[in-house]
Amino acid sequence: MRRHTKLYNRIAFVAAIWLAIVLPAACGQPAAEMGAAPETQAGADSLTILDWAGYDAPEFWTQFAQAYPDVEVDYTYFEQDADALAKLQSGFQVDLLHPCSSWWGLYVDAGLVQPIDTSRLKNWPDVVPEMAKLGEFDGQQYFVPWDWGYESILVRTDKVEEIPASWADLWDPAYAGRLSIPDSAEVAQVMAAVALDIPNPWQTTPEEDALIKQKLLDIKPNVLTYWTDASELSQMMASGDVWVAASVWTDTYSQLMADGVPVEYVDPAEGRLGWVCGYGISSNAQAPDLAYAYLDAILDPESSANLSNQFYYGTSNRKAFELADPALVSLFKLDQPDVLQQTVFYQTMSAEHRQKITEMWDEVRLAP
Amino acid sequence: MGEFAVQLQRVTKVYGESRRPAQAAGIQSAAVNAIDLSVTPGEFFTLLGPSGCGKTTTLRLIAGFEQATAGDILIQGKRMNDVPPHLRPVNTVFQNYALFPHLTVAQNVGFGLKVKHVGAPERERRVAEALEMVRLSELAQRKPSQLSGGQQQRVALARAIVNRPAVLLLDEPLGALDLKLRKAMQLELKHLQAQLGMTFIYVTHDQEEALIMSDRIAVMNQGEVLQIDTPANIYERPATRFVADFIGESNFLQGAVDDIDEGRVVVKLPGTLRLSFAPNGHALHKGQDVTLAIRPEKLGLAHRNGSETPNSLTGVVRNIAYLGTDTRYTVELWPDAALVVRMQNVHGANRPAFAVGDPIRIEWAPDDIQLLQQ
Amino acid sequence: MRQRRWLIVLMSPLALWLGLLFLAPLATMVVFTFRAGSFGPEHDVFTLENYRTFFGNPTYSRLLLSSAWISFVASVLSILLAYPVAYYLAFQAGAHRLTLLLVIIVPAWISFLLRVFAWKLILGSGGLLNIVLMAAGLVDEPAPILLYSRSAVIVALVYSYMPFVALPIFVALQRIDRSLIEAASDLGGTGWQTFRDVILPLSMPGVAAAFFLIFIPTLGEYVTPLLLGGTEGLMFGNVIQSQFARALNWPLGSLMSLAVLLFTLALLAVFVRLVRLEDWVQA
Repeated sequence: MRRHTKLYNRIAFVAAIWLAIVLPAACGQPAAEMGAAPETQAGADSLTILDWAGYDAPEFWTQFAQAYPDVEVDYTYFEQDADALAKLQSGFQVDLLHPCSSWWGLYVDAGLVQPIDTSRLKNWPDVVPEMAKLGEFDGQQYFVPWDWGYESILVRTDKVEEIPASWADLWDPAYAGRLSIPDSAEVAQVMAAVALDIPNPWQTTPEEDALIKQKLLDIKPNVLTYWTDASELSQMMASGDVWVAASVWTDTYSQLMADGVPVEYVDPAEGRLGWVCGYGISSNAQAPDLAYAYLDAILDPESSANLSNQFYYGTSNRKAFELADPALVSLFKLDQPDVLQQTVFYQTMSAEHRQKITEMWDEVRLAP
Repeated sequence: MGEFAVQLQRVTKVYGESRRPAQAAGIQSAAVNAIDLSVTPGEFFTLLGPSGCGKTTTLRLIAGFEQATAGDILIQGKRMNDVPPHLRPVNTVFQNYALFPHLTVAQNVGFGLKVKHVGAPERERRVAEALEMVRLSELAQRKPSQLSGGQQQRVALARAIVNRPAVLLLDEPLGALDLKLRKAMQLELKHLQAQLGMTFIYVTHDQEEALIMSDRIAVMNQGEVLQIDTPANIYERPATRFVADFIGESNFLQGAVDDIDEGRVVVKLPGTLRLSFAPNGHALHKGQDVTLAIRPEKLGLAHRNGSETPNSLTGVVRNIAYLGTDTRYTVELWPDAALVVRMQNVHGANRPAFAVGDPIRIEWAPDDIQLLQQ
Repeated sequence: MRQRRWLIVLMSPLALWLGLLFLAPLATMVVFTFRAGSFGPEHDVFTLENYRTFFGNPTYSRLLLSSAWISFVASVLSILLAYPVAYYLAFQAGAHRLTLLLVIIVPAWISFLLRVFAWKLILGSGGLLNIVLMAAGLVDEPAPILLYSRSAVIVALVYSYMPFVALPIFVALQRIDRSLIEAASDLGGTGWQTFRDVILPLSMPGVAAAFFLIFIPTLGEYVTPLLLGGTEGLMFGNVIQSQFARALNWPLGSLMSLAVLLFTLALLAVFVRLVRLEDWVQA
């Protein structure tokens, strides 16, 4: 009947409008097609840096500020490496970015960073070669390592009878219900691999994967809970809930010491784990020259030393060690020449490997 | 069999400061003020009065939903002041029916039996019987929301009577019904009560309803009981001006006590008229102002012919209203005093016997005029 | 005409707002479940791999069911605890009702995270529970009791959602016509019988609303299990979060979110079918 046809037409009309709204949102590229306006820089007056919170302190780049007083340095912060990658993938414009080593390969593969001409950096020769190597891909330097630190075992000396001497000791039933490990696939997998003496945790065979998974299942009875951020861990160790913690950073250690909690930062037989983070220049950088100047500024020994003294992290410039707090030097054993070779630094991993270990970690966590 | 179904002895209810004695709280704020009532078993007893007179409060006191501030409430001779509602042998039909919306009609009616742990077979039988009595058997499985107002009212009734209480309390149950249905239900209720032989205590503000249904009526106003009597006596022999005015229509005349002689009271009206009355139980003294009342239909009109009779007054017709069944004459006696006279149009004449402005005489039978308590 | 009115409603600002801010993101999520990757070239490849992963691995569905169980237990417990509170408020509180209502609601104004953290402290080694138990001589050494377990998660969830559970029950109880309670009493019902046969059934819509008010949000909870759950108290929300935040596997994360949504809708549909709420509604 005619009346019904009119109704159908009307319904079709409204449905079309709705689809026009909903479909593009559903199928479109995240952010890019929706018109996330990139920040336009007028000329080279400003430098945009994608960085972790706390790294914007001016004492880390004093030379840059002196040389370019009119340049505005804009920081955009992220809290996890995954967030930074996601941001860049969706077209966000920056000049410099500051991810950590296990993610560097993904940036290179996705074409998000440009090669760095290290001859333009006057501080480059002082960078520790082992760390510099981590940022090299296909013979080209893509990342300048800057800050690094240990991840090791932290122990309440007044609570445990025997202090663990190696990563493998964490599996000792003496620590049942008093251990905390990070809720991170990346860290847990490396920790188990190191305890099993697997040579390259970032390129594992299927047999090695099965061993690692079983090892992690074996440690579950010891684990009281997983920790997700450093302040939560500090609180748990200070209150005495947790006696032994794995893959703890140096700043947690120093904070607990300052609070008067009796703890020891272990030097395990297999070596401490080490994280390295560094700066890369983005492929869509609009002020690459300023970027180089900034990089040189932070690599300056004095700037680097400032970072160390503030966060109790290491820096990649060897000359900075001499200017750092002696207590830090002894903590980091920087006076020992081969300490860095004994440290197991996180290397880059492929997207498939990351996927694989995430699935494995989920299964471990979800296993009854 | 000498006990009353319900007896209230000097029952008072004051809201608010219930800890203070009634006297200290002030008589004015009492919802119910030292009332006395006695209801005989099997009687249809009505509490009649305007809104706020305390009739519903009295009913709730009997049911147990309110606690008396003072006085005794006796049901079947036993003092019930401290007995909670669920232990009293009374049931209530609420004004808004208060049917349980989540239960069917049958479950509603059987509720009282279920909570007393009456077995299912007997319960079903009695529920069917009660529904039969209110003629709702075919609606047993419906929910209250699926019933009309009149049907809901009958369910509420069935739910109460199925428990065979000693006394059934009804709080203006017909108020929400339309006129025709109300009239039908009045007869039905009266019939039901006679059939069951149950004591009903009925609350209403509709005086016509009270007159139709009741064996006895208690007229209440402002927390006090003014008169308890049969409908006929309430109508014919009202005790106070309020009762005379509230029930039906009444004419009032002001007079003064002229003489008290051998047990008879002589009242002098303006003019020369003197009327004598039997003492009505109140202490009267010479010169005291009193009010007389007479109903319009008790008055007759006649042309003046010069002769004065003892029970008559003279006046002038001021207004005539034709009301179909009767004609209403307003007759002025003296300035600011007029009487309303109703005369039935027996002869079908559409022409009144009198005209406006006619001087006429009003007559009455001596028993039809009342001396009121003030 | 009715059709015209419907069309006007559909084109109204409210409907457009709903469409933009709710339907469009939902549609985006659904489309994402078919993508091969979160970014780059993989983003444009469409595949059913995520569905195979999710349905092929029993861990995920097991986790969803165990999360639903935690939510269910928390919901039932909180209703059992909140009902007496709501009852008291509705029937006994009288003049103090408003004050007591505030007392119940005010804790909800404190940050959710702070309240969860507070439980960490109360149940932890140096916390209140330990102090009480040691004073009573029941334990010798401080240890985190109950903490880092499913029970801790349930306790914290019950505590956090109590105000939201008590309120609908309170409202439903308040709405009950007082004359119904008088009628029940008049017909011979004791306090308990009146409660069981009249008040409780009539408060069911409020109880149902309260149940879903806690069940649905807690199904997607991830903060509480993260902080208090230890190794065994993990909930579905945690895995969704790790897919998005760590694994950068938005397609799988979207599929898991969709799974929770459909699961909840299915439960709601079953519930509405079983319990025809219009029966309880008063005339």
